[in-house]
Amino acid sequence: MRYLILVEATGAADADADAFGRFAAAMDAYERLLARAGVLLEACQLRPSALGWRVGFGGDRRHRVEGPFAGAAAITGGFAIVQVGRPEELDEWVRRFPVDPADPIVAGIEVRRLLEPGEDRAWPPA
Amino acid sequence: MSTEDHARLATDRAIDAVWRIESARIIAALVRIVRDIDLAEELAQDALVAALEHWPAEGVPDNPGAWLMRTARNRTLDRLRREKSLARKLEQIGLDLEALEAHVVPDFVDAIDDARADAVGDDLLRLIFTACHPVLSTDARIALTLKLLGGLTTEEIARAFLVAEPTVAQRIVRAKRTLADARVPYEVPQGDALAARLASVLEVIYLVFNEGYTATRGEDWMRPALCNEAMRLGRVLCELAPGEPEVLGLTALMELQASRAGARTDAQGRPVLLMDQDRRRWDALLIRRGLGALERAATALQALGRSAGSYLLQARIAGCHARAPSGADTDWPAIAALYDELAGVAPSPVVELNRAVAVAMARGPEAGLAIVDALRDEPALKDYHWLPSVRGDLLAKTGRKPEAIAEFERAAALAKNLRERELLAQRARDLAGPPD
Repeated sequence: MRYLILVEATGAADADADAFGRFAAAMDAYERLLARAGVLLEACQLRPSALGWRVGFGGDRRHRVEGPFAGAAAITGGFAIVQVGRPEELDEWVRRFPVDPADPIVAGIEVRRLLEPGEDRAWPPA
Repeated sequence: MSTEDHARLATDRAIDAVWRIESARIIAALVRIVRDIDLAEELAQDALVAALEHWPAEGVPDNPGAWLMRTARNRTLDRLRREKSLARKLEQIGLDLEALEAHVVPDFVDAIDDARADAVGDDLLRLIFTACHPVLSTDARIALTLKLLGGLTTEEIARAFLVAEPTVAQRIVRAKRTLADARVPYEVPQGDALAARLASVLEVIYLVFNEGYTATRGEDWMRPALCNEAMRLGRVLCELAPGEPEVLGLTALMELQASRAGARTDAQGRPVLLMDQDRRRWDALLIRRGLGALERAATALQALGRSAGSYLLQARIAGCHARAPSGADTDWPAIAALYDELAGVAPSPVVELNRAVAVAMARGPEAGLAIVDALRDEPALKDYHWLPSVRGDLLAKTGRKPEAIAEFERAAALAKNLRERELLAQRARDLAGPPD
């Protein structure tokens, strides 16, 4: 089974160059950790939200909001796609994200299972 | 189920997961200390049992991998203090307890700096090369590798290979004894020995992969899980030996083959031939990875000034298929050329037969038939239904209908699988035309 590990940066890591550098370094280290264990399939890091924008799909109007997303508590910073034998292994991999608790650069990690090619799209599965 | 039962189950699963992730590294480090796979595994198992005793009551520790390693290390040191003879044996090979205590970094599992990772990696490599030592039978190498490197239980290995659990347990016990008797050194082979020893490792990984790949729908999930474990081991090896073209080749081969897993059977579970597969169901992520590994292999090959080995050539062939937008767009001349090269590196009747198919697609059925005809008396292919099946196909394409029908009938009689037999018999009937 394949999972997406979505790493969310804090507003500080998104806005501050030094903090962003530390976040990127932590992501690099995390990728190496996953790769060495043979579970990493794909990884990607993102630029700070200053280079992005958001389009809201409310009703019949679409609102474009330019980055940076100041004030947001969590901003997507990168992801890894891993293949594991059991979902419980994800708890371990999430725990191992190398971050100093005293340095708030990571807001959280979201884990999602991939919808695999050929898999039943119905939910919940029959 | 009560709340306590749920909590207990969750803890057991957590322990199981930590074990799968950590056991290889723990055992690899312990073997370096005690120079005995059996004892190292026993000490690691002791740590696991301790976890099963403590964690349900005390909760899973913050760093479960480090907890296991620390416990295993402490038990090892206790054992060495208690058993003077063992300590003496180790002193003879230049180890002493003081050095030992310094040697085992307690929190190494969380270490992310490359220096420490290298030390862990070296241990893992030693363990892989030992588990796959040519002194062992193929079955023993497979069982030992999955147990020590994959963290699989004897029961899981037995289920995956459709054999009885005691059989697997026996294989593992005997394998460890054989290694001890042969005094196999715990090291990564160097120089000329490396190529042969590496071939033995790659063979084991590919056999594990193929065992999983040939599993059919509805079988125990442990069987297809072998594919993923083989690919994981391949990737681990790629990280440990990034400059080895055959390691990259094997990993690319497995990923490219696995990319087609979702397309190779139809809704009824019947096999779909490569040319007829719905390519939208191929796994783009695995293809991208496989093709990426092929590029890295080419660079590594150039740096070494070597020519491609058999896994890399097979992976390149798989890569040609993966790149083709449709069956009709397949670059057959490139595939035929790769088969020519493969026949030079790893000649075998099966490679010849595949080469014949590629040559027929590239240069016409007559050219392919010439290769197939040379294989007709090949004893290794005597009962191989693909030989008459391929020959029948090529004969049909050159208009030699009666001979083609005879070959398809022969192929149907040889086919072991009911569905294949039916398919081949149908082709014979189709050629014969409707009865008058």
